[in-house]
Amino acid sequence: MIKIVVSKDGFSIDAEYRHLSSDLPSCGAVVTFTGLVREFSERTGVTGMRLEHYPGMTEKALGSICALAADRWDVQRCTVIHRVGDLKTEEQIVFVGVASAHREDAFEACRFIMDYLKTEAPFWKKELTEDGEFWVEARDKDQKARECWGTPDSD
Amino acid sequence: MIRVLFFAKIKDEIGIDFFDIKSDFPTTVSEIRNSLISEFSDHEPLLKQGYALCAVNQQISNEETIINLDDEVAFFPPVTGG
Repeated sequence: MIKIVVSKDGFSIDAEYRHLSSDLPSCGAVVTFTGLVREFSERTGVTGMRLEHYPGMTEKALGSICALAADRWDVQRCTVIHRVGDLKTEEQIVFVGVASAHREDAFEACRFIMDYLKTEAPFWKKELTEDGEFWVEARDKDQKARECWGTPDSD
Repeated sequence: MIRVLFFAKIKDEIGIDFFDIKSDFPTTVSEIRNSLISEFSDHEPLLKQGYALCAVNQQISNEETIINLDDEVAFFPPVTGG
């Protein structure tokens, strides 16, 4: 039911949508989110991103986040894909998809997973710019979005 | 001895991806953090509580978390995926 992929490879939204929705007659809603590498972040002139992760812990953390969502909402299937390595602007970096009987559950669970991923899954972004490489610092905005769900820290 | 893994900016700035610390067991995250700060005092802002997170056996931990022989310990910056 839960599919987690951490990989250098790209992904097809169409294939992931079909994986979420096929042979599931009780499914009434699929919500997907795709994150892209954009050309501006903390600095302008970003040409790409390098994504580092903690192999093993990252996959476990993503699985735990999906399990938390499934405890809270009706989640029939759930997919999280996160790319690592070097990515260029406009490339897809992250995918979250949730299949549910109802749209409210699918919307909420998808947003919850993304908000938790941003503050709890061990990934680190480095911006590659014309002036050099710079680690991205965590933002309060992401922490606040995660705290809005009102559940305690995992520790 | 305990092997501490470093990731991202901490790994880049200190210039190594792990460091072996002599320790009695059980120990705590707080004690390991203090040992790292005395070993790498030039990098204290990157290692201090409030910046560097610590995972024990791939779970985010707090300062009181107990560390035993053969536990996997990692220090890393706040995460920035997505």
